[in-house]
Amino acid sequence: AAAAAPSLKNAALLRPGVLQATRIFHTGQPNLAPVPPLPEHGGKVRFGLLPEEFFQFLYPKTGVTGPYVLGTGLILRLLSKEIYAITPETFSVISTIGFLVYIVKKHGASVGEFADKLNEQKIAQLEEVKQASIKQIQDAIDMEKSQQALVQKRHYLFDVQRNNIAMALEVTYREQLHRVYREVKNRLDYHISVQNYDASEGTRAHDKLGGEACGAEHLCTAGEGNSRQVHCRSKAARKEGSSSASYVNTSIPIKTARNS
Amino acid sequence: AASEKKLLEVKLGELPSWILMRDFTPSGIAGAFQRGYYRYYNKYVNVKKGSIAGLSMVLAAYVFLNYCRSYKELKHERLRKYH
Repeated sequence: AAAAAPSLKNAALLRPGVLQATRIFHTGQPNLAPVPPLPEHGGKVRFGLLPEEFFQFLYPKTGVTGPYVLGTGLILRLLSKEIYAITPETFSVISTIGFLVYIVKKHGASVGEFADKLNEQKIAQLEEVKQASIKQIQDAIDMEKSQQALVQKRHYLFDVQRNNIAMALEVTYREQLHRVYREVKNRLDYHISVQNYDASEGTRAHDKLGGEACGAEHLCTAGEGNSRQVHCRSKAARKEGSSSASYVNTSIPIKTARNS
Repeated sequence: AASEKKLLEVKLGELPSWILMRDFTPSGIAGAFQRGYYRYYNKYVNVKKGSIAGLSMVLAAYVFLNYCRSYKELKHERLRKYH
């Protein structure tokens, strides 16, 4: 049933049954497709009046001159028995027919060529439309094929994206690592500079810094990894300490025990 | 098969029976005229390089028909009475 109705969206409506299976379409042989082309020339005619078949019909019995003799005899009989009477109208008929025959003999070919040219123009127009349509469809097919080919190469895009993300993650990780390192070093440098400062200045700067330096000194002996405690306690001193640390770092060689 | 034979293939003795077998209903007669017309048309007119014969044969037949129809009046134009 699904094969018999391929365009139905909800094929469940068509219950599989004998009725649908026996519905067949387009079984007759199309006998006019493609339409046969027009014949080149029409049936042959002699004198413009008598078809060639008549001459062929008489040929076995009378040969070539048969139909002509028949025609002559008929005409003479018509005239002599006056089945065809010669009247004044006869002469007008002769002149009219003579004139027509002359015109046709003189200009028949050119009129035919003109008509052929018109036909050719029409056919060329239709052919153009057909070619344009074919080209359009061919272009659509090519574009579709190229797009299908592109789909095959999508994995490159995903690889690039994955690489980018991995790189960004790596960069962020390293950046944070470096930041941690910087912060820890900063605080340890502060402690070292405080130590150095205390060692060099001694009690002279003791009343300047107040009890905070004692507290800082006390804490810097506690351990290296305790940066959080240091952060909580010596906030006020850190500002001064960082500035003095930067000053001290350039002039006094720092004890390298704490440098990591 | 006997009803499908063409006129030229019918034997002389079978002619009356063949004529009686033809379709003389109005649609049959109309069909006969249509077939005759298309036979002439497709042979002499509906071609790529037609000639004057397609038209002149029709006109000649028309002239001949009119002459036959008006022979009764034309008889009086004869030059001699006895031939």
